[in-house]
Amino acid sequence: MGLFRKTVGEPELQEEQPVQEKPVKDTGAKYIILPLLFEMLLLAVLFLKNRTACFNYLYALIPLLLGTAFIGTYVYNHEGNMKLFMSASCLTSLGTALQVLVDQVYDPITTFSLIKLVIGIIVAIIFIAIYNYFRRFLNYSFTLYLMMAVSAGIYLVLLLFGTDPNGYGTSAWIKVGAYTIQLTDFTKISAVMFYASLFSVHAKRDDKQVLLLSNIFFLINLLGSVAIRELGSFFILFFLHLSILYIFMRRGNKKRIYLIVVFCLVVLAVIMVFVLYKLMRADAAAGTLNSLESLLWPVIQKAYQRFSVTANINLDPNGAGYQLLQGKKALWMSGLFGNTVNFSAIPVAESDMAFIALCNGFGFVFGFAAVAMLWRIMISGSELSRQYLLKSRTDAIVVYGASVLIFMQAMIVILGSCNVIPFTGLPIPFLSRGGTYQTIVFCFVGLILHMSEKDIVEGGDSDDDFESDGPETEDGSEEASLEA
Amino acid sequence: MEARKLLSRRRIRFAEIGVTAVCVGFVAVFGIKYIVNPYLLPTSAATKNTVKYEAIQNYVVEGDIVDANGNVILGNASPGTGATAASPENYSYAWLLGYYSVNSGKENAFGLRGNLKDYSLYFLNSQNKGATTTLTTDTGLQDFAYQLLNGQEGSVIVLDNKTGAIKCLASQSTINYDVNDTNTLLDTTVEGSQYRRGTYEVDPPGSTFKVVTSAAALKKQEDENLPDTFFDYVDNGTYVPAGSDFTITNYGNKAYGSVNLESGLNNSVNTYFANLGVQVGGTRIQEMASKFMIGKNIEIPFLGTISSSIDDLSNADTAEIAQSAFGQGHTQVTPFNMALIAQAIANNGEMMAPYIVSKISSGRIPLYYAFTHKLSTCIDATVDAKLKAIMHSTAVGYGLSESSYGMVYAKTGTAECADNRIHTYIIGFTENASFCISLNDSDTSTTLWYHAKKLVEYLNQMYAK
Repeated sequence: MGLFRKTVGEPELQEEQPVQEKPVKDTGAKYIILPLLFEMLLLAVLFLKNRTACFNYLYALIPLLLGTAFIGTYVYNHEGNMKLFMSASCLTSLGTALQVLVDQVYDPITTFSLIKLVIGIIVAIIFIAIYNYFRRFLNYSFTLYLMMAVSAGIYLVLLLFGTDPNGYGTSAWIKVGAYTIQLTDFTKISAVMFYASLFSVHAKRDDKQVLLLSNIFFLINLLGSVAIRELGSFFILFFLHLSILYIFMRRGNKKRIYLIVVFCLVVLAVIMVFVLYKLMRADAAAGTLNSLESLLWPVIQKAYQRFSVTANINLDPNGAGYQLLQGKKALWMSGLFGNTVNFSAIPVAESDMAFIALCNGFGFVFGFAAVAMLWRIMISGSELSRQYLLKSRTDAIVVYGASVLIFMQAMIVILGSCNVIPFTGLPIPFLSRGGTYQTIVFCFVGLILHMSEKDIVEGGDSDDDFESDGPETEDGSEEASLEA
Repeated sequence: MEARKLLSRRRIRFAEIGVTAVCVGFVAVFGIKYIVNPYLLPTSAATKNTVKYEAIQNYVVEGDIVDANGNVILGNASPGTGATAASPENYSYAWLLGYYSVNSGKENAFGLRGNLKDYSLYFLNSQNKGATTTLTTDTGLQDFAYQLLNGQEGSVIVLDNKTGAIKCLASQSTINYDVNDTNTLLDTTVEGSQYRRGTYEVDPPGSTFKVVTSAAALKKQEDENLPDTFFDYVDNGTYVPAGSDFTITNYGNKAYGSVNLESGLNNSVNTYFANLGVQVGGTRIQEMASKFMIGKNIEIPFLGTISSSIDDLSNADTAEIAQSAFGQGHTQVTPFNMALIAQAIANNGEMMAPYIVSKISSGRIPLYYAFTHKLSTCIDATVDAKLKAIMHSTAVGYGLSESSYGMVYAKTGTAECADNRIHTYIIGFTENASFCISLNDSDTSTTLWYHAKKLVEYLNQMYAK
């Protein structure tokens, strides 16, 4: 009562003075200037490393500078995430500089194409424009099944028409005229859309349905990957599957048991690989494998080699371990600013071993900077996803899924090429060559940037407009309210 | 619904922490393994160089090493085979140049080639050739100095008075090391033969230390404004330090009668300097020795570290001060340190940091450039002038007359070593260069007068050009 009682002798409230707002310091522009400076710094670095590469980079520098300036200004004007833009922009120019150097030093199979890079960025811009229309369909049930069908269709097409133009041992490419397209990369887009649709608030799916549908999708990818012998992309989708279920699925026993079972199955699968390898080795050497064994043998052999080489890099120095051994040598020679002895014996420096080539060519300073920028993309995506969770779970999953796919693939390949984990031959986002994959990466990063724009974050429908799809769990609600 | 959102947000935060931990862990582990450890741990550096060497050994072309005049000392390398030196530089420069090799994962390095590997082998141009190293030496002088040793175990060191640049560092061990054939060094079974004379061995300085004692005495006279009579002494041929029964005698058991600083140094009177040392005091002698870098490490970039030692004379008894004052006792120096003492006196008391590599470049890209700098201010100009005067008269006594050799300053020394060797020295300087000639197993320092005369003649001709 006393709170609202006027105190005797209290001075009368004076007429409200207009509050002078403190001018807000706008530092967003520096995130455009810094990438521009970084692009020019790379020119100077290349000048010292290799003159021909420097001149080739000079051609690429014009579209890079223009792209950075225009896209940066667009993101800035739309109040997008400028740190994310800076990281993506710097990584793109670093990847370009690396690829022009790779062409001159590491004797790759193909030549770097600036046109493919530009096309990739243009395709990404078109993709984002289309996504604006497609976004509303994520809440429809049919999208889920459509994405399953798209993934299954991709594997089927590859099974029938897939080629292996570079001799990597997988049939992940199809030929379209003079171009080869790595079709498996598109399964990553369909996977993100699938999970976004799976967890749509509108669908109101219970845990059983979520687990069933996600596992069907998971199996489609597993069988498809084994059939075309492309396990690398499957690993990425596997991590996406686990991370999405861990974060967005309701807390409860079903989820707990599922994740434990999956973990046990992974361990079991690794053991099985070793056991089957020992059992089938003699028959494989004698050429007496039956039809099922013949299908499994290349996968088992590949997986066994990858694990055993990780455990002992000198096990097969001229065979399965050759690539990693050269990588290890390259890392020893790298130093802070790159090797000074013209070391060039890094196999597949343009793709799988791009991080090693980056360290070897430009030094650990640039290698670690690339890791930091990839981390920035992941953190920006995660924070944006956390923001979207308060509003739209579907959008949160799209943003998080895109970030995970970029970061996970980068780290799996980087750690693999450094022999920390079993090596998987995949391109590294931004750094590696590979028109299709880099286009997908630009699509993903463009998507996150687009979703970070202020009017997108603040606009659109909210999950709160729809009925809840149930409490977290019997104990989850309580915990959450405590947290709140 | 709200609870689920919050839990999902919390799980994303956990994932962020995990992602950050992975990135930080990766950068930390690889940064330490590949960048930090090679600088800190010799084993890690050896691993790094082994990996590099084995990868490049079939195409690397070892970088040239040239002298101050641009003459190639070590060159003509081709892919996979090391550089070689022409005759007679393959012997005269052998102990300076050394070698570098990697066998069975072990790194073997010695001399300039061992220390220059990061440039001459591991910094390649587009033709896979290592960087070119320019030394401060004069090949003519180096060859001459090596011939001067004439197969005797010892060293000849010549430094530029103003800069401290090493003009020559000729060594002769108990074996003939040919830089083109590493086995001549590695296969030897002769004990104590595998080190460079001049920069490694530490022996008592003998009477050359009397220069340091003289400098300390002159400094005391200046500081305390003492009359010249401070230097007067009557020698009866023996000196027994107070409180001891140890008798110091002169060379040949001579007695010199009335002696002052100049005649004492001219005749190298042990008893005189034993007494002078006691008068000056252990603290002052040690301070002066320290200013002349005795007891301190001296770094010669790309060549190594010169060490020496001296007892704590500030707390020593009279007998030890007396012995140390004329160059015996426990003082241990290298001939190179003695050459630097001569250089400091020649350069008005300022000792310059010695260096032998003047620059390293790959094509037109400079990778290293030596900047001259002062190492120590040993004595002031007044003390220096007095010291020069008595060293000049000493040199004249050796036959280095002004009319024949110009202004030459010198002092000899004969050190009795623990293993019954006699290590003889002569330190000195001309207008342009300072030197130390040392014979590690000799009879008497008077034999070095001849070497000094020949060397001064050569130096005078060289600088006259």
